[in-house]
Amino acid sequence: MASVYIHVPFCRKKCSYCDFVSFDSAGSRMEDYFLALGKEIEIASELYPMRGVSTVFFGGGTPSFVDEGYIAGAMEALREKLGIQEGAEITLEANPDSITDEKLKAWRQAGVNRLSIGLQSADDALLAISGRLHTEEKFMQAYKMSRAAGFGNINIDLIYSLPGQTAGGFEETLRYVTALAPEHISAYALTLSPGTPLQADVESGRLWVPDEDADREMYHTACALLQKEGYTRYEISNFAKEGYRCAHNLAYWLREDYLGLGAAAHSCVGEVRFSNTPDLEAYISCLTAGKTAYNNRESLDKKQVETEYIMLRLRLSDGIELKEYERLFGRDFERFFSKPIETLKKAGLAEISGGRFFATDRGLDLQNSLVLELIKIPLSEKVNAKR
Amino acid sequence: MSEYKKYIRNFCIIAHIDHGKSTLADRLIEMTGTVSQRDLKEQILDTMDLERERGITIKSQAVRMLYEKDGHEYTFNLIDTPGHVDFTYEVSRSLAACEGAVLVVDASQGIEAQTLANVYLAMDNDLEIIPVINKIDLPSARPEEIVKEIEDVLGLEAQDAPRISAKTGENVQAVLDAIVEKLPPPAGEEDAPLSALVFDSMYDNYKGAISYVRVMQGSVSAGDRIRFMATKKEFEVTETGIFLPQMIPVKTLRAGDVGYVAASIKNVADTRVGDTITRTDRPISQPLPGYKKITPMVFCGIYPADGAKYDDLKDALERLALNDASLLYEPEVSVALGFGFRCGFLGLLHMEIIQERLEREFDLDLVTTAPSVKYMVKLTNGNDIEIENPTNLPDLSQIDYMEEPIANVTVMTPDSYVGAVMDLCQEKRGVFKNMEYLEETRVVLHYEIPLNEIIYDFFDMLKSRTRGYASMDYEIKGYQRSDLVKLDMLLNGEMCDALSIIVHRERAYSRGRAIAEKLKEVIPRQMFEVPIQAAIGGKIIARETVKAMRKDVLAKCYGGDITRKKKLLEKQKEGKKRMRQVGSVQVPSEAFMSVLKMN
Repeated sequence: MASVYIHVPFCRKKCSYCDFVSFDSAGSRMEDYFLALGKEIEIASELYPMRGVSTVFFGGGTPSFVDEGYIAGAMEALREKLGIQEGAEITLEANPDSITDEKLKAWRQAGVNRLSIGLQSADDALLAISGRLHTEEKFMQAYKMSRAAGFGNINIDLIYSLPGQTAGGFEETLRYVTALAPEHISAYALTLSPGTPLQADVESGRLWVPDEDADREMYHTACALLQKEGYTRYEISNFAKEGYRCAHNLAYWLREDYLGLGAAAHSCVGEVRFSNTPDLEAYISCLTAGKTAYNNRESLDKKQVETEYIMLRLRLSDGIELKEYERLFGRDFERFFSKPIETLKKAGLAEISGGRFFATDRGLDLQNSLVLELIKIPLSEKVNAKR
Repeated sequence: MSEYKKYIRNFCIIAHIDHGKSTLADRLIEMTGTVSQRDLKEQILDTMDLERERGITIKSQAVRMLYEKDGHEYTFNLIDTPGHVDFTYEVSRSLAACEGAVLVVDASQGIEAQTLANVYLAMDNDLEIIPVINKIDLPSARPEEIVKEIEDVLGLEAQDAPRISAKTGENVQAVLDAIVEKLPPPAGEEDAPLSALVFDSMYDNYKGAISYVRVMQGSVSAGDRIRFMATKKEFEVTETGIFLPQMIPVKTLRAGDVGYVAASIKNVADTRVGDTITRTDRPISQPLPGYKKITPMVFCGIYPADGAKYDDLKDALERLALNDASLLYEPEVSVALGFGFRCGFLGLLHMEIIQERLEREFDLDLVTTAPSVKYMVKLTNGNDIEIENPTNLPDLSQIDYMEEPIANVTVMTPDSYVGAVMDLCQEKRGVFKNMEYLEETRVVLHYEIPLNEIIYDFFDMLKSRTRGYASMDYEIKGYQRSDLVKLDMLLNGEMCDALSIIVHRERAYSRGRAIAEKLKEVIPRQMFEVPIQAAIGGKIIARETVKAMRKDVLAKCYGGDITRKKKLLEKQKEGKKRMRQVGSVQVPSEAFMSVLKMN
């Protein structure tokens, strides 16, 4: 099992909240970028030979924005160099404003079988504030076109806690989306990242964002409403109909191997995490010269692997399977963490049942605190041990 | 009188803070050519960074200057003293080492509380006082009014007081001449048995603890066997010398001289300020008057923010104590804070200085508890105990009654703020003693106020309520019976020992509520709701609640990049390290200090 992520760092225009690696004025570099990407696929196939990948994810940036030929080319290269397994999940992120019938057809032909469409909100005013280029109407067209083109597995991306948004407003968007019955829905809380225009607007007081209480109200509304509509929350921000969990994203949370290709892409192979430079020109020149463009490489020790395991598993509703934990780390989870488990149970953040340790609804609201409780070493113990 | 002594002048400069003491010292050193132009810098006698930054003098320093007048070369020994009330005893010993004092008064500010306190100290030591009006270059200067004030308030002849600007050097010559003309040369006989007054000490890695001395009678040289009369310790002198201001060895220190004595002394505690040195072969019978074993007045717990740094803190305290015999410390354990030290200080400034030096010079992160005074507790079984840490107060049923230290407080203020000052003193349980007019619009108020009220925020409050115009000074009067109670703080139902304080019963309710409110601000939201309670005995007198945290989660790990999440967790984990676990509650280090200052 291995997954591949391909980063497409181009957008028509950057959204006001976005701090991902993407360039809205580098159109002229696309040709060179995808040539470099082809080179990277070739190099990766030598460094990490694998018998076919089980998921591919084109993320960005805006993969739907670039010429469909580039996507087809990348798929061709993957198939040829790394191999793609039968029935693999191939996802492409698309923005409503760049979805066309020609592109949909080309993507299908290239093997893409899952679309992740960024709606974010069905409220045109919020879309405008967020710097999105589409309207609700444009999205509706794109969604229908995608269905018509034969895409039977579609995710709709939503963002809540947008400036000025209310729980009622978000509920309208949720109802709008569930009426379309996509197979998968992601609902992310807005993250105000330093250096983004939106963050500056909030900081200066030109815009305000919902407070913690309103944020949780929106999230809890989403969880309840989506569950009623037949979507299971299998991860903090991800909801799917039966059989449609995103295999690619699950690979991240289950710590399966994945290769990230393209500028700024992150990889995890065995106990090693590494990532490419986020600098577009550096990436292009390195790969053009036939060299890799890694800027970061971290070999994890057993303790770090365990920390990651705990931190990622507890994002999933399935949580940690106690038997698997014991097999991987050689000790009894319940016994080893008996004290923090007690604290967490008492605080109502986690439960143990059916051979699994998992976060409760409240535990998912406080997932960081939950994880910290498990991975921290209490100071007092250290001091006591010393004396 | 010997020719030698006739040309010696030993003096201090005394002044209220910021009236220009260090600047005048700099000018005198410069004009007598004691320090080469190249080595001149501001506040030359203040060697610590902290002294320079805060513009204060913490440690006494001495410098020998040579000045020629009328064909004679005079030897000036200037002893630079701390100005703050915390160091009153040190100042009094430095003054006792001199025959005269130069009193610097700011030409616009006039007499302030510390001017008064220092002048009284100088008078107690029978010093000849030369008033000097400084800062006459300022537009707001009113030297003639200040002269009148000095005469009226202090009773000193001031008509011919030099009007100077230490900053520009204007008329500083007149100060040098006045020192020659007005100050008497030292008395004392070189042939008499040795008596030398210790007015400060410092620790040198090679020479050991070094005593700063004024030789009153007799002489001392390397090889002499000496005895410290208070500590009864004996040593053999390895070196004697003078200050230029760096230490320069000389063969002998004679009656009238100011200098240093090194004798391979391991511990500064063996050479106490105010002690008398004599020679074992020809001892004097009575030590010089005025020696007091000084006892700390203010105590607080000092803990490393990171429990693993306990040994570093211990080493640092040891190092500081080498140079500071008035700093006391002993290990203590707190349930909330782990291993640390109960430290005793001369006063609040001394405490602040030590804390700041620990943090800056030793790069330590500290958690300090609210300062406390020393209480006398009379037990029902007839025994007396002293309590420096509120946590150690016995159960109420075992206590007959308690006594607390009371201070005589002097506040000087423009008369328009008399009401504000009186209100403040009243709030601090002060007992009015009397009030005098220094001049038409300036008043001095005398109060008796419990020391435990002064050490919290009295000085800050005084400054803010009088827009900085009032000045204050205090000295300990003694102990007095008082209705005191221990106020405990409970977090989620569990008592936090490091937050306990002893307060007067009448103030307990308002203090408890204020601390609970403050803790609510500084304790972050946790996984569960945290009740904060203030209690006396078993009785809850105030309650606040820190609401449970609503959200603590990252929405997304995009594109398999989990570094951001890992970084966040790492940061939170670091943050937790700076937290103290009280029962099930995480309490940030600041919380323990936030109870120090309440508004």
